Amino acid sequence: MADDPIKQFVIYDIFTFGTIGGDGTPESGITLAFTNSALFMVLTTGLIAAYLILTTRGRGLVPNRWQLSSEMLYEFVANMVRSSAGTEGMKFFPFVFSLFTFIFVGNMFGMIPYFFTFTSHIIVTFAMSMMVMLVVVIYGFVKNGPKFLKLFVPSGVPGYIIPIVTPIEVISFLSRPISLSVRLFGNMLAGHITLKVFTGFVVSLGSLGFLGFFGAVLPLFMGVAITALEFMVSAVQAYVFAVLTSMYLNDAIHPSH
Amino acid sequence: MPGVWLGGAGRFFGVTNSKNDPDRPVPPSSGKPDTSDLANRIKKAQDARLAANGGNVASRQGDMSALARGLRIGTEFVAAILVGTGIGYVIDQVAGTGPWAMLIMFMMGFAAGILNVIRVVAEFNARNAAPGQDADKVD
Repeated sequence: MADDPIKQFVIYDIFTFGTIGGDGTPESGITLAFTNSALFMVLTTGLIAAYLILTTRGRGLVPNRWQLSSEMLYEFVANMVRSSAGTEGMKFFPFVFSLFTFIFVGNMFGMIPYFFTFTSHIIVTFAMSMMVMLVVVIYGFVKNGPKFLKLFVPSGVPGYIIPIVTPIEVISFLSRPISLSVRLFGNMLAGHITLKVFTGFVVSLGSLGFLGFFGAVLPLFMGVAITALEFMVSAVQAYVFAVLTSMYLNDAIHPSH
Repeated sequence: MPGVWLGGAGRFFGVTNSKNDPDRPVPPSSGKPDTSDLANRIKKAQDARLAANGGNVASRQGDMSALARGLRIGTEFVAAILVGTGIGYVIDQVAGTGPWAMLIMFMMGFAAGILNVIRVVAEFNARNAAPGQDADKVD
């Protein structure tokens, strides 16, 4: 496991539910499988649910420490949504809270050795960002009707500029799910590879003998530093994802720029 | 002895307005200022929250690290170019119009990327500006 820095991202089936279509031969049709990625998603969701249910079970008016911690988590996300999307945005609080805790706990799970980081797969992050975009577009049209398209036409622009500006605005809007998903995916993938490469140096230098043993100290320090950095990146990227989600939701609620 | 005690109590009463009166340990006259003070504080906190909401500009993200900020600007820029070029490529494939749609949409994507970067930086600037001033002017 320590030799190949890419091997940690391999997805394998834990068990399969069966195959749709195909002609019976292996590798044909669509196989529904419960993969290690799915396992860690289930573990993440289970951990979040258990944490929230267990800590708020007392429902004390004066909270104990556990309840205080989950109330602080609530307040943190609630303030984030309120400051980015306004009080109206609070109807999307469960959505943003779920995304934030899911990504945060998933990233933190990934920091535990031998655990799988499902946020390091772009399809996972892309699915989440497309979900955000679909909510923005659908809610924007449901709430504002055709006025939602004013998002693409900045106010106060002379008429002859609009044909040039609108495609740029449309591309800018369409680039949001890409940048949202690539940012999270890239951070997690690059961070985990860097971590693996540097700690791999420790092993390969340490096996060189006496001098290599001393040389291995340097990447060891780097490994420790990068581990700390990765913890920070994991938290910050979950935060960034949630903040941008609430800012995009703000566009759906108030579509005029 | 009782006279001394009464005098002492009277003086005590005169100085500190029924603070330790044994007849009324928690008199309503001293409880009322406390609760109205609490009400004032609740009102103040609610006003502060309302003001924060009215400002509409995110003020909580000042602690986003420099690395995250830089990566955000980079991805916003690159993503717009990729999307623009991709749209142009699809138009070319469908309409068979040589490389032209892709080239034009590449330029459009470039412009959209610049627009994204300007928006992100304006947002960062608005966040770093003092809250309450003309922070909500940028948008």
